Amino acid sequence: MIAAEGLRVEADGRALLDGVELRVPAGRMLGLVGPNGAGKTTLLHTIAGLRRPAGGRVTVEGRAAHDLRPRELARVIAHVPQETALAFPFTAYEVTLMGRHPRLGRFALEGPADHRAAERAMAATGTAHLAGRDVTTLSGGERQLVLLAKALAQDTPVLLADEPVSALDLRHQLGVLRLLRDRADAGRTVLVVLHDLNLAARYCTELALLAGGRLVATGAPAHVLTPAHLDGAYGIRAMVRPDDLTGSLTVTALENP
Amino acid sequence: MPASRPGDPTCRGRRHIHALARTPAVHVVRPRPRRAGRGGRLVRVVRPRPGRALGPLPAWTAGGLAVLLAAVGGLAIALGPVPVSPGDVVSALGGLLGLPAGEVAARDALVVGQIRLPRVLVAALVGAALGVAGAVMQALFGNPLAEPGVTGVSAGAAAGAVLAITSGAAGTAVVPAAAFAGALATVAVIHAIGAMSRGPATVLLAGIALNALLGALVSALVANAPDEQSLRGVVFWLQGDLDARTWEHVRLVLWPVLAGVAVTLVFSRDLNVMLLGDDAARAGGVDVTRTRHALLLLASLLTGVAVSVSGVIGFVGLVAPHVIRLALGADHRLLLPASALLGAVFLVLADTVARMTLAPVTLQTGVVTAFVGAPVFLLLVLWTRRRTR
Repeated sequence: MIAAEGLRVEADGRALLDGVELRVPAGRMLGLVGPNGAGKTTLLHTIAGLRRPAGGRVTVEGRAAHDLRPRELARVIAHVPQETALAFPFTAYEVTLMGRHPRLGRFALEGPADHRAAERAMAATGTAHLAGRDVTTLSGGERQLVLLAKALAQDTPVLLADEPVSALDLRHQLGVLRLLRDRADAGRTVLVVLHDLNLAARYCTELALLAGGRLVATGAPAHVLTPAHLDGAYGIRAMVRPDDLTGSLTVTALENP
Repeated sequence: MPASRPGDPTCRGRRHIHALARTPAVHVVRPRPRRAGRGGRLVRVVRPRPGRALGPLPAWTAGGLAVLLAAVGGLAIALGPVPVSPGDVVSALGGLLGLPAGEVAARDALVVGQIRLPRVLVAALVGAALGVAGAVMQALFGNPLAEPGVTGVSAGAAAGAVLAITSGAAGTAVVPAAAFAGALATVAVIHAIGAMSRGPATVLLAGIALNALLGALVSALVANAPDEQSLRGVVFWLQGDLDARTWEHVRLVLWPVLAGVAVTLVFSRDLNVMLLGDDAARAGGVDVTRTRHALLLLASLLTGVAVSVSGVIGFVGLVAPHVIRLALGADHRLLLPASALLGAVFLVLADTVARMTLAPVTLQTGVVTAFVGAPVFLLLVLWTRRRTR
């Protein structure tokens, strides 16, 4: 469960986020959508405890995120960042196993349970065949999947993912979002930044539309994805209608006349 | 997802949109069954190979490298202007330890016990310190090319040591302490520059500037020193050497190096996670700021102590960790102890080569490591460029 109350985040005296009120109960998957520079990643970072809010507060599983020590926080939240530096020749399996770091004592070696968690995470993300590969030789999409596997191996009640499908092909996009949705349906809290409104509408239980550091709308996809909201956030004319095949909403942006 | 592109006919009006809605793009939506293999279905359950997870590898590697170090050390003690047979080396070393050993000529016992053994020990300790400091800097600065010599940290240590000597500071521990302070100040500067300008090349460019600046400082200090004898000359500090190292030098570096390496090992797994970047490391449960500060302090200690007895010896911290990474992977739990041992082996060998070079050619230890290390550095530059392209 994630809750943000009156959240304000500043950088160089400028407000990046202002008056953000957000509640994501366990068992839900919230899609964070909005135009570039809207503050999606900033909000994710603040919830992940990487940024200290200038006002308001964020609680995760009932505790203030930025007051937790990193080890404690990492047992509650797993975070898949947008970009990760991978310049050293670890194997994909070693990277996945690093997800177990917050659960291991300083002098402890990984035990059978840790190896099982890493193997399950790789199987779930379809990266098992990459286990022995050097991560510096993987493609962007493969790396994204391995980092997701690392976050799954962390085995936390809350999972944050910043554009987890940006480098993936269509099949893997659907697979990853299905995986995240299944996690939510199994009782975890999932918050995911997405650019693709159609995928967001199809897989998320609810959406939050962010623009200029403020929430334009939150709630069920049908409530958030309206032509008026989209015009307000993106400045576009858009058609929103149900898709015959998936049953969820699709958004088609139109060129301005 | 197909995005609406300018000029796309489906974007022009309501009628076309409607037409598109009635002819859905089935192939995009419906997941088709795929053949297994590379990139099979996401839910396919395959037991992954355990990769290079730590098994009995660390014990074997450490044991093997320790044996190698002992063998190389024995060889280094046996070789020299006065050759000592391997049997006599063992006997003389046994005698030093108070073991009942065979008879050894007094001259051989003296050569082994008072000249060669302390020099080999200093080489091993300095090599271990530089190997570990290199591995730590590569991880902290996120640059596989970082090491004490390249980053200018060794030059900072040398400047600190020379400053202490020329200002007439007394006491044996003062010089290593000043070298540590010099190394720490340089590390702080690099850290600050890195915080202001991110990018893999920053630390190397800063290293060029710092090496030039601190080298000039050392030259100026030595040139204007009142008593040049106490300084061993500018060459020693700019291009390190292990000539005439004694038990006093061993005593000076033994405990700081052993303690520094041991404490660094405690942070092995944190270093692994920190290689994923600051945000990912913090999200992964590492207190990034505190861990980085502790490790920068340790790398400065190791570099400073090493430089105070050997001058600036470059490339050990580059060669040792890279050979280990190529052979055994990047896991610091294995990389750090193995780099310490291999750094020791490398420097003992380099020093033996420097010592054995026949007159009229004179080579300093730092020259030999540079002959090996500089080509390795160039290969790594080409290699990392190709990879990141």
